[in-house]
Amino acid sequence: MSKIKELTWEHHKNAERQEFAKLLIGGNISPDMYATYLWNQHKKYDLLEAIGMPHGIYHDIGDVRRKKLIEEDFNELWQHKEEPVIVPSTIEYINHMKTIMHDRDALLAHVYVLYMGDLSGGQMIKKKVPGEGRMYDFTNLGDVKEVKEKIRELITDDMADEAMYVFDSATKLFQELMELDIERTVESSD
Amino acid sequence: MSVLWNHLIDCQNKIIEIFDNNAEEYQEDGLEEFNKEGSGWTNRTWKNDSVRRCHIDVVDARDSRGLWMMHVTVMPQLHNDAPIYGFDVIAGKNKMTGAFHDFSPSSGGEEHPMMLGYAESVRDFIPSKKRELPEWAQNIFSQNMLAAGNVKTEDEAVEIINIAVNNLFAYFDEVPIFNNSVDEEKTKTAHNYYAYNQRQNPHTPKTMKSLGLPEEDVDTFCRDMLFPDIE
Repeated sequence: MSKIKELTWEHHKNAERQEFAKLLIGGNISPDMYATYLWNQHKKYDLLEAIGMPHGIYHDIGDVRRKKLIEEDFNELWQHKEEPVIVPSTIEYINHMKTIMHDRDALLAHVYVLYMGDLSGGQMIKKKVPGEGRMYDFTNLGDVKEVKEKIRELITDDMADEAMYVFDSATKLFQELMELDIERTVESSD
Repeated sequence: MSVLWNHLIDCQNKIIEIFDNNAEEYQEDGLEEFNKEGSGWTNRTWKNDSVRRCHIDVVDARDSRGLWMMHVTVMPQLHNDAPIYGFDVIAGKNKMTGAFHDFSPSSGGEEHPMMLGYAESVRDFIPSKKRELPEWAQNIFSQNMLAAGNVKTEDEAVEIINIAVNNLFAYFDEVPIFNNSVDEEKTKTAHNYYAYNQRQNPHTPKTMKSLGLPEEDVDTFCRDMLFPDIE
């Protein structure tokens, strides 16, 4: 059994401590800010899924791919003509992927952080985000626990460094989104 | 009519002839929607044992917008580590506003023998105005990419066209040498990385919409048909 959860704990918690994460969990995030987040996430998932497919990753763990669902969520929420900002950490992530695209283990570390996040914490925020929250819907895969187990089976301790990179990239994304000039929160209804 | 457009339409015909002589035309699922006679929008595809997708995409908006655009790519078969051929042009009546040509590294990398031949072919070509490349382009194009903007002289336009056409001849001569040279998984990954970065080009849909094509069609085409991922 891999100890990756323990090995990456600090980086994981650091991402969760960010103000942006609190907005998400609190259900107070504005549609524009959430759509900007989705737009940046779409860049990451689109790339991971494009280069992860040839490695057979989605064959092994099941079709957890999120790209199209994120697109649908984004299209539902974004009402402006211009596209949202792509923050520096997303660009840095895209560049980083070039260096690991032929390394299946490194890609699995990304799979671990991103999809396990969607399958775990994502299930809690699904009802709190603006729009339908299709990104967190895994009903097509049946038992979420089984999918998580399949991912865990492929993860080893030596993927921890790459997983920490993914957590740190998420932390930077959260920070950069908070620095943008976007109305962040929706007014409380009560 | 314009001299430049005549050169470009000759070029289009030569490229189609090269594809016809070297590969077999096939109908790609979904692409027929974007290949309607009389609409001014052409999309055709070919393949053979060495190349899995030769694609030519032409938008002829000379009458309506005073613009003509062509996009050409050749993707090798997955067992072949050859670079990806690309040639893109957009031109008004009297100038090419943009011309791009490259052999972009695939699973064979920057040092692939065909890349060296390509670099030699463009060595003496110095466009009058070189373009700064955005991040997505730097991720996939070779260091010797030909990128020219605002090409006003006929000589320079003809030189670019000749380089691109001659390199397409050379491409088809050389690409079979590299059949069965690599694991398919490696080429698939490289092609998908290339396609992903191409999809980040914000100018592609903007340009196509500026040519008068329906917005929804352009969005679907750019998202699903222009640079599709390999499953």
